[in-house]
Order: sequence, then C-alpha cells, then structure tokens
Amino acid sequence: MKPDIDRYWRLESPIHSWDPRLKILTLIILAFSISSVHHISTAFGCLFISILILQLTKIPFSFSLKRLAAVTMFVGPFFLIMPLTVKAQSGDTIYFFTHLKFLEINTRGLLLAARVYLKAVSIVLLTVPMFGTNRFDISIKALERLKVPNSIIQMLLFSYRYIFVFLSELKRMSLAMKLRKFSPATNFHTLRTYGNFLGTLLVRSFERTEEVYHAMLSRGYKGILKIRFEYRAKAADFFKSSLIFMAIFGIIYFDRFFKGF
Amino acid sequence: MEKKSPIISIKNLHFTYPDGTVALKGVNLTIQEGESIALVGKNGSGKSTLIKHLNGIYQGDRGEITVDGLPVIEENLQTIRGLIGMAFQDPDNQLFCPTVYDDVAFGPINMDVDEMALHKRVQESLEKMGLMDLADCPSHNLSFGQQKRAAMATILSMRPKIMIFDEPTSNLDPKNEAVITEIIANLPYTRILISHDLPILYQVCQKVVVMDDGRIDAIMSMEDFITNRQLLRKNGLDFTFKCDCCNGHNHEHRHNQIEKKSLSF
Repeated sequence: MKPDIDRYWRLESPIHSWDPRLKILTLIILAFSISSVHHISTAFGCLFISILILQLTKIPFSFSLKRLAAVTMFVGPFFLIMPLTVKAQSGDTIYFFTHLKFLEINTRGLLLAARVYLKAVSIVLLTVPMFGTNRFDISIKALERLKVPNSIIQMLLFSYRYIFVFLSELKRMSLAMKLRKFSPATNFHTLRTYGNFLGTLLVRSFERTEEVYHAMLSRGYKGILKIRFEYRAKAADFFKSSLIFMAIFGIIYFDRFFKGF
Repeated sequence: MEKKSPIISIKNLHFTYPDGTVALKGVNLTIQEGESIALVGKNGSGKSTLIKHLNGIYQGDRGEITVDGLPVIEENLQTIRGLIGMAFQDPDNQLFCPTVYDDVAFGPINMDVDEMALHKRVQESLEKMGLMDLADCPSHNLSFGQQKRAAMATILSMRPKIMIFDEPTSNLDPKNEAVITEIIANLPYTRILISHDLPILYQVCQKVVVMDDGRIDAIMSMEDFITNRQLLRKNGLDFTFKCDCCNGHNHEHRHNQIEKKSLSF
C-alpha cells in the first residue's frame, strides 16, 4: 500500500472544493461526535454518513477500504475478546458450551465490539475526505490556520515527506538482503539479521535527517516553517459545513432520545 | 592599483568532530569574487567539512572565516546563508517540501522576500532548470536527474553571490550530466565545485584547490593540475580519457601543452 493519502487530490467534487480549514474543522467535530455515540443503531447511522461523504469525494472506495485493514487489525480482536470478557448483567443473553462451561459468550460484549468497530471505521473513513481531497501540505497548512502549533505542523509535514524516503530505504535494503540469498527462518541468524537491518535503517535515517537539517539551515531556516497560502472561504463552504453540523445534531439527538439497541 | 578584497577568506581553520576525528588542520584559503574553484581530494580529505564551515553549519575550533567581508559568526549567519547557495551531494536531502515549487520557494521565504518577487524568483529558477511542468509535483516523485535540477533551482532562487556544488554530476546519466554541467558553467557567480568528475571540473573551473588529510595540499591552475599526473594519482583522481586533441586524432596519452578549447570529453 502506498502511503500517499492525497493521491486523488486532483479530482473534482463538492468535498474537494470545500475550503480546507472549514472541511477539517467540521469533519473533526463530526469524528468526535461519532466517538461519543452510545447505541449501535446510531453507529450504523454514522457509518452511513461517513460512506455518503466518501462517495461524494468520487475517490474509489477500494482506496479507502485498504485503510480499513489497519483498523480491523487493531479493533478486530475485540470481537473475540469482548464477548468472553464483558461482565454479565441482568438481561444479558449468555451462551455457553455444555462441555466448556467456563467459556461464556455474552451477546452484549459482541454488540459492544461491533459498536467500537463501527465507530472506528466511520472515523477512519472520514480521514480520506479530510486529508485526501487536497494536497497534503495544503491540508496541513489549513491546520496551521486553525492555530495548531508550528512545531506540530513541521513534524507532520516532515514525517509525511520522510515516510517515502524511509520506505524506499527499506525496499533497497530488503532487496539487498534477498540478492544475497537471505530467507527468513525461525533461528538466531534471522533475528540477528533483522536486528542489524533495523539498526542500520535507524542510523541511516538519523544521518539523513542531519543532512536535511543542514540543507534547511543553508537556506535560511530559523526554526519556524514559514507557510504561504491563501485560503478563501465562500458561502458554499459554510453551507457544506452547516449541512454536516445538521448531521452532527441529528446523530446526537437520535443517540440521546431514541433508545436504539 | 586597488587590491580587491576576497569574497571568501579562510585563515588557519581547525575542526574536530565530536567523536574526536580531526577533519581540518589549519586551512588557509582565499577566493576572489567571480572565481570558479575546483575543490578536490580523496574521500575523507575534508572537502565537505570545509564547505560546511562557510555558511556556519559547522563552527571551527580555531581560525576565522569571512564571507563578503562578514565574519562567519552567529550574528551574521542569516546574511551569509543568503549569500551562499549550497547544493548537497544527495538531492533528496535538499528537497524536503511537499512540492517542487515549495522547495524552490523555501529559501526566499526565509529571506523574507515579498510575495510578488518570490513568485518571480521561483518561476525563473524553475524555468532555468526546465522544471516548470513539475512545479506542483511532489519532490519524491521526480527522477534522480530532475531532483538534481530541482536542488539547483532551490539555491538559484536565493540569488546568492557564491554557489557551492557537492558532486553535482554524481550518479547522473550522460544527458543529465551534460545539462547540469552546462547550467553550472553558465552561472554568473563565484563557484566552488567538489567533484571527482574531472571533465566537469575542467569545463567549469580555472583554479584547483587540492585537499589532503584536512590540509590544503596544493593550489594551482586547472591546466597545471590536469597535466600533473602524479598529483592526480595521489588524490585518487588519476584518469585516462579519450580526447579530440589539437590534430583531431583520438588517443590516450597526455599532451604537455593542452589547448583548452580543443578538448572535448
């Protein structure tokens, strides 16, 4: 998977044309409101809203699906752990095996895991319209306009830039290993090789960082990254934000007053 | 006749790395405005360390440096860094912004160049390097040759008085090498080139400074240098090349008298 989240920034859609500052701010608020949801029915509603926004971007859904792999890796195990570990309360439905009575499966745990998963997926899907519909630097510059400290902006920009350098370094080194007939096995040699590999990668990255810093100093860098970009919010941008805010109120209202399951 | 003051003056410069490696052992050098200097020597002879002292990236343990009359001290660093454009060996280290345009604009923005002038400078630099079409492209998507040119554009936009190139043609194919060489050869600045590529040095530089073990070993004209086989060999620069010499015949030997114009590499 290539890490360039802004691969589709050139597409034209209502989300692409949305002012980056308003877009990021609005979608962050939406993400927070999704995280506050208590009912699985509302969580399904949130997923629907996220998919709807994603569809509006015209970005292929497969691109976003790949990003869900990481979420599934972290949240997926909840489906196994939570039904087994959630403490039983009155009204819970519990299944158990006749021969393995200590193994109780609580359906409330399953629903809890599903709610966490749905919320996580909805939020992760939102990152694509949030940062994938403008060039990454413009999105990050928008964060600066939203008063995010310059040091964080610099860290984000340089981290993003150096993911690619790190990956190419990684590819080069693993190719060099393969060319010398290295095949991983469960032995001390493999462990030692991977240790050396990671160590060299870190040392190389450090040296590279130092060189980059020297290049920056040579071009007058004084510790603050100066960014020049003109953002202009139009009435349409506020309208788009207000639509999302209506959705946010809808989510909160439905979650509070319509007791779903 | 009024004596012209040098644009770079280095007096008795000593430098030791934090790990104890002595890199420079009393370097003395003066460079006049408009000169093109080839800084040559074996790997580890102190060339790159020396140039990193010129704009204060490294601070010497002893000795003094002046650039355009300004001592290289903390208070003058911003001015001096505006006077010196430095292109590093690996262009990837020089391109750290999200797009080529941003990278080229990085220097002038730090020099507080106003918006209109900034855009003009960036456009001119990109145009000179033939990168106008790639202005919005992320730097990491460029080919190596394009990266080299983009790295040069980043320093051109600063409009420095002195340009320093560290191995400008290394790892380039002959076509890109020729393009870069021609660009460097036509730059109207004081130039310092570090390279092991003798043809480009010969084409661009009139004077050679040979470094060995942290010291200046010799300063001589380019003609004297390329005819001094022993010195070339001593500094790991010995070479054999075919040239169309004065009579137009191809052969692999050294002429005692070389007519510069008739050489082509």
